[in-house]
Amino acid sequence: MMETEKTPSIEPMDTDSPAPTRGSLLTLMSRPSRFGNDSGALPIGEFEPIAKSSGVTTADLPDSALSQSKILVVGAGGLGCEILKDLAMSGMPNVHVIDLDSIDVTNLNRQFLFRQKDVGSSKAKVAAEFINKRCPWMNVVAHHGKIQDKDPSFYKSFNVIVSGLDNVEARRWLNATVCGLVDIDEDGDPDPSTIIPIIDGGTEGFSGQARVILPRITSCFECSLEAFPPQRSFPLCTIAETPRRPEHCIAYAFILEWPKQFPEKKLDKDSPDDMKWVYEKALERAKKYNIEGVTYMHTMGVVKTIIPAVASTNAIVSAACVGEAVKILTFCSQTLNTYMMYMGSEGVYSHTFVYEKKHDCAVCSTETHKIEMSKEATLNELIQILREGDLRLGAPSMTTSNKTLYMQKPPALEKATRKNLDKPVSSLIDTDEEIVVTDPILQSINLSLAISFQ
Amino acid sequence: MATNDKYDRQLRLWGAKGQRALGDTCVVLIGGTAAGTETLKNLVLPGIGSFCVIDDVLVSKEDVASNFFVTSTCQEEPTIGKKARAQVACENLQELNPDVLGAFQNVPKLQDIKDWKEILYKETNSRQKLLVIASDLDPLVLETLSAQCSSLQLPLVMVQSYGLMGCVKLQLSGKVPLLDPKPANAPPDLRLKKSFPALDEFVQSIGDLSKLESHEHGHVPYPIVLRKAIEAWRASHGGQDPKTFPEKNEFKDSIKNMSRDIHKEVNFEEAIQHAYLAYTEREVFLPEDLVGGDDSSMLAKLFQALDTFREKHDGRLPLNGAIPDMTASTNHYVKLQSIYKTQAEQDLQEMKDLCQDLPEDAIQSFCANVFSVTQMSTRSLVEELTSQPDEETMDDLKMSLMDPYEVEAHTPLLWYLGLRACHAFFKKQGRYPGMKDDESWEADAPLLEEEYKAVALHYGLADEGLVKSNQGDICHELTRYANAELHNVASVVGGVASQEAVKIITGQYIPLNNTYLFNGIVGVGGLYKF
Repeated sequence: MMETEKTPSIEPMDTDSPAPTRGSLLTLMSRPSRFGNDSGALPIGEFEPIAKSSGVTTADLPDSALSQSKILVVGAGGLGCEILKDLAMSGMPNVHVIDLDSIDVTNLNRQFLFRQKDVGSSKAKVAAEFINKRCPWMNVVAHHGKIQDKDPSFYKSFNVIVSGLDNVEARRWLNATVCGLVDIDEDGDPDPSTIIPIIDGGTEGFSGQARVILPRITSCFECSLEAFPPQRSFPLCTIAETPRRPEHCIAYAFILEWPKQFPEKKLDKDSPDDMKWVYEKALERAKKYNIEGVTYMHTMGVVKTIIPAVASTNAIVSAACVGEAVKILTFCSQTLNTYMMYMGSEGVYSHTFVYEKKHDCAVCSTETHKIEMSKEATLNELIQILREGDLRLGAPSMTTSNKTLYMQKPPALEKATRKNLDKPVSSLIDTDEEIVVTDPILQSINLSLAISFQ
Repeated sequence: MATNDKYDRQLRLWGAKGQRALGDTCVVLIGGTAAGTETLKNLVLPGIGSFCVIDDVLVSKEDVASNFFVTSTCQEEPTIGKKARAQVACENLQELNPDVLGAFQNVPKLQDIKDWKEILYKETNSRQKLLVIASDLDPLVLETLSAQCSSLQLPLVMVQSYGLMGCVKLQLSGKVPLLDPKPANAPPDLRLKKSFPALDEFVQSIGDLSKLESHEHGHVPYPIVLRKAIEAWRASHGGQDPKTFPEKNEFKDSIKNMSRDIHKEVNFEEAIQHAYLAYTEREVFLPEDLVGGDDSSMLAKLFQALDTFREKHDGRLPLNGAIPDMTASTNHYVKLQSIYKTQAEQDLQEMKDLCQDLPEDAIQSFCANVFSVTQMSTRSLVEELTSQPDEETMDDLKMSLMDPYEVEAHTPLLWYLGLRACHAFFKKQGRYPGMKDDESWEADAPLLEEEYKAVALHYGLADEGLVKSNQGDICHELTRYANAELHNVASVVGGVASQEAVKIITGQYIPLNNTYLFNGIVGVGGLYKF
């Protein structure tokens, strides 16, 4: 009789496990809170505690928002390795990771899923293998390649995207792609079921930030573009005529001398031979001008615009990001609204603030963008403004409701529309006629322009 | 791969000196919870010399689910309920970096340890510096450890993850020197108010600026322009510097007048921008407690040497030697650079002669950062708990409640009081609030609230409206947590703790003084000094 009353444990092995001395994520998920998601400043859903079954951990939770969601991790570098670990330790088994990079020896001081023997292998693959082996409940699928090579349908299949990218261009692409997935109804309202949250992290030295982007609801990456100004380079006259610093000599070697010496060959920043060539040329120039401080390490830093990176900051930012993913999926607590920053150089400063939506954001608003130009300004000049102004577009193509002004491709269409480039815009469109701009940076999103001529 | 140094990306932050300091350090972790192993991970990766994990429990399946370095198998043997957490954590952390030596001690019961000294020093060698990390320790263990680290003058980093709340606290006993704080926006060290002979000579050699041809005129480095300008000013103002606001503006105008076209001559524009360097001198106040007394600490010796140096050189301090980039011809810039560098090297040599028994790295850092060098010490946790904060601290705490977070209930200080209350609860009950595994868990919330009120009183905050209006909700939420280990919170505070440890070990940047509370409900952090 006694024997039949015994409750069978889920895994017999676990009877060895010492009794828990503290709660876990499951404790939070199974108990009501006065700080559930719907009570916060950025409510997404109502928290409903799940039934707690004893002897279970998040690692073997069969049926929950965490175990059933599909997560995309963009980047398997310093942040990506941490993010993958954090997902595993939060009981989120269905994960894809995408990265085009291979492992470099300089990754090893922080990208802790890689070892010396992995140098040269795919980051995404090695990271996924490590996690799957270390945490048997995980099923991480690796994609070794560019984010731009995946179709929108790929991105559409995820519940949450956590990104740990190291450059503005990839962030813009991802942001525009995911914002473009949102269906807008006739009233201009987004369909909530098509909104995929992006949780984006970034670090530099001892500082970093994490932010939550709910496409079309909160500000998006493009709304904050001005916070990431294009990189400043050295004035060419200094490099060519009055070099003073070692970096001026290095810039001379790779900006001016390399193309002169090897007009056919692009400098491979990861090739020791190429980099040695640049270093030696820089050193030569430095000697000529008695400038000290050209070292191989410094040459690397200047040519690759290396940003210092340490394990600790990556850990903080990644965990802040995955913490948000947990809350967004389970509603067990409030959502970050919307931007968290951390600065650790002088004491610690960390705060959150609402990054406001830009009312005429090229990606997440449907508002018409206004541009002022002179009557004589040509279409080419308009392209210049779109590329070099606030919008920072890449290769804009333009149409109106009834004609094509300029198309970057296909080549035949480009050729046919090229003649418009030198014509004044005012001669190409009617008064008050809007121009629709498409651009690879904006992905599926069309930007409307209203030009006022002076 | 274009370099073979795996530490390249961090050397760009703390340099070879910082790296050597890391390599000379042994980190002792007490408590193998996720917050602790995450902290240690971020120190093993950048290459500390060695570490030792001390713990008193066997691996549980909860550990495996939320602690990446506590695995269910270790060397192909099952660990749950069989192997010491200290050992498993040690082996998984050791594997991260072959440069680092790992050790562990599995003790019968942390609460029973009355004398920590032998245990802490057991796995270190005499050349190493020691840094102690306490991870999620219960108050009984933590208070003993805090008191002993204080008397042993060992830096102690306390890290805690508690549900959605995380906390990092530094305890620096004695005076910890910060030789290279790297303040943002520090002005360049050019000594333009009071020059030195080699610089004077160079300024002389350039002669009358008005006689230079135009390209040269537009490329005279701004320190030279400023020296010329201040000399001229002094000659016409009875040897005095510009003092009043109108005088300072007049001085700037005089620089503008020296230029042939201020819109084209960037060097003169730079001179105007830095005009204050010509009439202000940065000062170093020698800390009385270090120079006057019989203090024989490294920092005291450095300041004593500085005192001697200053007297010998008519008030001049050792020069940094680095100059910023500026508009200049190559020749002038390189010459100027070498003048500053040569002087700095001479100064450094003199300082080395004055303090021969000190490590070269320290003397070098001290001289390079003579205007920003400082020291830091904190109260110990035991002091914080046993005696009320002084008036100034209490005022600061009240001030921080007058400037609450945008959602008042999430002001981190309110949650810090909550964590202290949970510790007080543990000391009475032998468990954390909310540990009962059924519906009755909420019964602990009112008990916790009583502790909260006592804690608020201790910190002088009992009458604050913000405290009173939120303590109920906060205690309910903390009871809900039952001291839950959430990996993401552990990893955030582990990141913070390791960053602080690096700052303490390398003597670079400025450590937090002294408590950081991360509120994971909304993602905000707060910094408080207790």
